[in-house]
Amino acid sequence: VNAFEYVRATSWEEAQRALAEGGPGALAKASGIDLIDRMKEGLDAPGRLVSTLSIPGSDAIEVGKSGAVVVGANATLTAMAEAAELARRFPALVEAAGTAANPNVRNGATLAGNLCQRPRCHYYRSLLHPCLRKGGGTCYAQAGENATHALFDNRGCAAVTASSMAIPLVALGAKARVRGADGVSRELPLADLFVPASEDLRREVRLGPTELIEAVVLDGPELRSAYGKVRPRESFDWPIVEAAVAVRSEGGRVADARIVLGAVAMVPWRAKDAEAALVGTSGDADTRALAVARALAGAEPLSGNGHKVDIARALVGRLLTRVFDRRSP
Amino acid sequence: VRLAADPGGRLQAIEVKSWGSAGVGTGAGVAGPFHVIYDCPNRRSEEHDVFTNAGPAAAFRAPGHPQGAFALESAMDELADALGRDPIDLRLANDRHPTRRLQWALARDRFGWDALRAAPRRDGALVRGVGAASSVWYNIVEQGVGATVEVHGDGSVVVLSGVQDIGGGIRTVIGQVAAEVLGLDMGRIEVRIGSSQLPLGPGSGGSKTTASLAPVVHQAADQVRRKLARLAAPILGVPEDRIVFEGGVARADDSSTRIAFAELCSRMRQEKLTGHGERTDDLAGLGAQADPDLALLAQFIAGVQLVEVAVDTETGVVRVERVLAVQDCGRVMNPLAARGQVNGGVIQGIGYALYEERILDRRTGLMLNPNLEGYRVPGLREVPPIDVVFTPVWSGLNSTGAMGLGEPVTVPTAAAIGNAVAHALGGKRVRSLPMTPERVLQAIRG
Repeated sequence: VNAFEYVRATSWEEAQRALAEGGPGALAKASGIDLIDRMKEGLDAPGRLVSTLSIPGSDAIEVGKSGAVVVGANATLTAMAEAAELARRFPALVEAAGTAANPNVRNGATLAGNLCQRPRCHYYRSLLHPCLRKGGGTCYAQAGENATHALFDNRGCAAVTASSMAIPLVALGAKARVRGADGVSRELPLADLFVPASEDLRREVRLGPTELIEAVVLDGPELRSAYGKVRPRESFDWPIVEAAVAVRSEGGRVADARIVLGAVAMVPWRAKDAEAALVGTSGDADTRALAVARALAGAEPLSGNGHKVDIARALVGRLLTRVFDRRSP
Repeated sequence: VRLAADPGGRLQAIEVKSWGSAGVGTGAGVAGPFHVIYDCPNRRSEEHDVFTNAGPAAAFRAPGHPQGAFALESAMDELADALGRDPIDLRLANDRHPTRRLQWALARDRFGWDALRAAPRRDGALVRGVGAASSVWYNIVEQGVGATVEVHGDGSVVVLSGVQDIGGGIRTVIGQVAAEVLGLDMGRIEVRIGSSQLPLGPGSGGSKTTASLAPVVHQAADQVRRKLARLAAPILGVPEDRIVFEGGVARADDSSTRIAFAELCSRMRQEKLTGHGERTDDLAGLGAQADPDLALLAQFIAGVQLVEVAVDTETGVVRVERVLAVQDCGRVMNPLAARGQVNGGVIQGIGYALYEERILDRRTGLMLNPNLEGYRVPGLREVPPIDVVFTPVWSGLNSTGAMGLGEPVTVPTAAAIGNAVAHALGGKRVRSLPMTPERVLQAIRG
């Protein structure tokens, strides 16, 4: 690991100032689970780390007067998994938080850190492979070992998003509260935070060098939601595919449906054709089957990841059953 | 692998051709199990080492045997299917090892095999199946290794051997054996190991440390015991062959007189009494043994494992739900440590079956998962209930009856899991390890 300066910020202002002063070599750090790994692997060598963990109140999970839930950037996955208000209203989010990684990681990992972690593509993580996302000339996954790679928007860089929290949060219509370089906070749909591979290969989130996520806000309408994933091991594994489903019904008809797939693209992937198949229906078995059939519309598997299509379909089917048929587990 | 059998299921020929790679080294052969588990008049094995610039390999827990057992035992199940025989019945028709025959009978009953094997059970997308496989390992003894037991004037006892304890618990076993011979609590024994300045210890490989060393410690402790008995005879007023060491005292065998162990030690005229043992060959002269069963018992360690799996036929994810491991290790030296060895071997075998895989980039030969994030070994939630049963064999081959354990318990696990998956999938078989969701889905599609 390179030598670096360490700044413990006690306010968002101070954190931003320290990042600005540190210039291009400065990086914000939350619990550092991914960042410190990258430094040890030689993928990043920041001259200054600015810790935001020391900012008082940055880990709070609060319910506002309007009923909106504001989850602080530094809330841990464990805290989210154990928050009764989240469990009652946003079960998909709690399921994702409670099953990510392993208990050790969940106890340290923060919401913002989860959203901003870099991809786990084994070529991106290998210093010996100068891939596109590291500024090199080729995506080794295209003709290489690509079983874990993207099904959508995958002809440039085929890495997938590593954020499990993003999947239910996008389904739930969450907003990111981002503190801009000018010190003014703004809220944007969380889905807009993520950068598709075809737009920019060098970054995954739309944040400037001194911009910071302060919180994630859940203020949308009540949705019935569920999250699930398929992974080789139950203990500490990355998903082959993960997904979240959220629906709202009016008078027995689906008024709004979101189906979001994870580990299939560089961004949380909305299965819009499948969503459309559900709207206006009762969510009966035939409709669900139609939604499942359309859930992977447009997928372009690489040489070694076709199984993800089948697994994603199975997963979406199970989640729809859970959301529409409460008798099923 | 090719097998031939007569209509009665008796093997007539076993052929295996293997290509394996240990990177830039040799030693990727897998034919061991093909030669030593089943009785068969014709065998041929052809093993190829393929050299690759993909790093060196090193021997690891039963080298070549989990792989060989996976191929052989998969083929045995396919043969059973072809003959319309139960897989365990087919094995019994071809296996003369007396311990393994006993183990199969015990295991199929304890596991509930016959009812479970009748048909796979479907529960929505989940299908459950059961599978079994044989284990074998070799009764290996390293000759010339030694141990010294010292009893000091202050009553302290020290056992010395250069052996290393890599986790199997040999330090504990050494202390136990000396304590048993001297009639002392184990807490009284100091065991010093792990230095080449101590008497030569066995190498930590081949599942031979306990089998090699326990009898030597017994021999060394017994020498000291005899010296102590000579010291005690005039004190206790009985001949030395009537003196018993137990419960921290030396006593006459009719309990008429006694002396505490430390008190006895304080009477010695020298600083310490010393015994030394050195390992000789258990098997000397055994080649001429008339009894073929005894020859099998003396040469081969037997085991069988039965597993139950649940296969998610939509996602390809396999979970091992239950394992029964019935294992021979001669005489069990320490039940707790022995169970730990079996649990570890089974868990490692689950890793071979479902998770462990070195991902090499096909163009550069570089390993893409050189860390425990990408190189999967079983975690806590991948460990099913493991029912461990020992079938002790008191062979009388050496003074403790110890035989090996560490390696045989990891040999059959992946094979048994493969057979259980094939059972669940109605005979569709995954022919590569690990059985990843991707490969299981491929097998289901056919």
